[in-house]
Amino acid sequence: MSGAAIGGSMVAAVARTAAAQLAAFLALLLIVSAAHKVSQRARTRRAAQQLGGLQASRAALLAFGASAAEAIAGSLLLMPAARAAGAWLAALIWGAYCAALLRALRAGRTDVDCGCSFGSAHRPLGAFQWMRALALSVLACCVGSAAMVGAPSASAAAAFGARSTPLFAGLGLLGVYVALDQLAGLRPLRAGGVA
Amino acid sequence: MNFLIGSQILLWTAVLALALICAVLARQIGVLHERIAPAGALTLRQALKVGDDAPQFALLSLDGAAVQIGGVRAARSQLLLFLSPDCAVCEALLPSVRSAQGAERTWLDIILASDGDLARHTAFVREQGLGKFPYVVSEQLGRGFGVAKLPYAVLIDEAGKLAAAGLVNTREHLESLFVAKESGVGSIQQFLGRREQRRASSGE
Repeated sequence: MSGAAIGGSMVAAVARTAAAQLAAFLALLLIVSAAHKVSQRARTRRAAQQLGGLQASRAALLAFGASAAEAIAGSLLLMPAARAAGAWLAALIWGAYCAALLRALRAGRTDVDCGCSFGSAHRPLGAFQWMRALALSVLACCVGSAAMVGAPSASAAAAFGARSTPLFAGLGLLGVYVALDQLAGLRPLRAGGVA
Repeated sequence: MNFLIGSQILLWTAVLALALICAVLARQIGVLHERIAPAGALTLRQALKVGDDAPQFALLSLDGAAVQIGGVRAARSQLLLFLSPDCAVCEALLPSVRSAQGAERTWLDIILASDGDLARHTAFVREQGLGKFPYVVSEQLGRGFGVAKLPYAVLIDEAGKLAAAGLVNTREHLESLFVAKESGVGSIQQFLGRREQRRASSGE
C-alpha cells in the first residue's frame, strides 16, 4: 500500500470517528433537550406560543411534538444503522427552530423567552440564539452526509476506538455546550474599561 | 490500540470535567449578578419627575464655549453631573465618568456642573484633567434641577425630557441611569416590580 493510500484511509477513518463522536454529542443534546422540555412544560408551552404565534392549545401540541421529535431524533442518532435518518430529522428540527427565532427577531420581539437555555437566566433574543440553532443544524447535516457515505468498517473503527469513545466524546462536547450555554446566559456588562 | 482508545477516553473525560467546572463557575457568576443587582441611583425627593420637560439653560463653560442644556437634540442625550472640588466621592467617581464618556460616546454628551468660585473650579479642572468635558458653573442650574446632595446626575433624553436622575456614588449608580433610560423604567421600585412580574409569569 502506498503512503498516499495509507494517508487517505487514515483521513477517512478519522473523519468517520469524528462523525460518530459528533453524532453522539447531537444525540445526547437532543435527548437532554427533550427531557428538559418535558420537565419544564409551562416554559416550553409559552415559548412555543410566543415563537409560533399560536393559541395555548395548539402551542401545547407543538411543545409536545417538538419534545417527541427531539427524543426520536436523538435515539435514531445513537443507532449506527439509523444515524442518517436521525441526523436529517435533527437538522430539520434545528432549522425550523432557527427560522422561528429569525421570524421573532424580524418582528422586533427580543423579549421572547425562546426556551433555548438549560438555565433560568434570561438574555434578550439576539443573533446568538439563531446562529447556534443554525450551527447545530449544519452540524447535523454534516453527520447525516457522513452517515450516508458509508458506515465505519470494523478495522477502521477498532483502529480509532470508534466503538468506545463516541459516548465519552459526546458527553465531553455536551459539557462544553452546557458551559457555553451558561456563559451566554450571563447578563452582559456595559462597555467601558475598569475605572 | 488499547493505549489510543484509553487516552482518548481519558482526554474526553478531562474535557467533560473542565467543561463542568466552567459551567459551575459561569452559573455562580449568574447567581452573583442576580443577588447584587440592582444597584440603582438613589432618587431624592424632587420637583421634576421622569418624563417631565427638563428646564433649558444657555450657559458658558469655563473655557468660554456656549453650552445649551435641555431642549430637543438630534439623537443625543445629555448627562449633567453635579460635583464639587471639595467632594471626595465626586473625585473618586471621575474615572468612571471618563470611562462612560468613551463607552457611551455614540449617544451621550457629559457635562460637568457646579457652583461657586470660578478660580477654584478652573484649578480643579486642571488638576483632574477634565479639559475634555464642558464644565459649567451656575447656581441656577443646580436649583433648576433640585440638586441637594453631591455627586448628583441628571440624564436628559434626546427629546429634552428627564430620563433619570439620582445620587451617584459609584459606577453602578451612574450606569443605572443609562439602563433606566434604555429600559424606560422610572425607578428602582418599578424595576423590581417588573422583575417579580416576569418571574411570576415564567413560573420560576
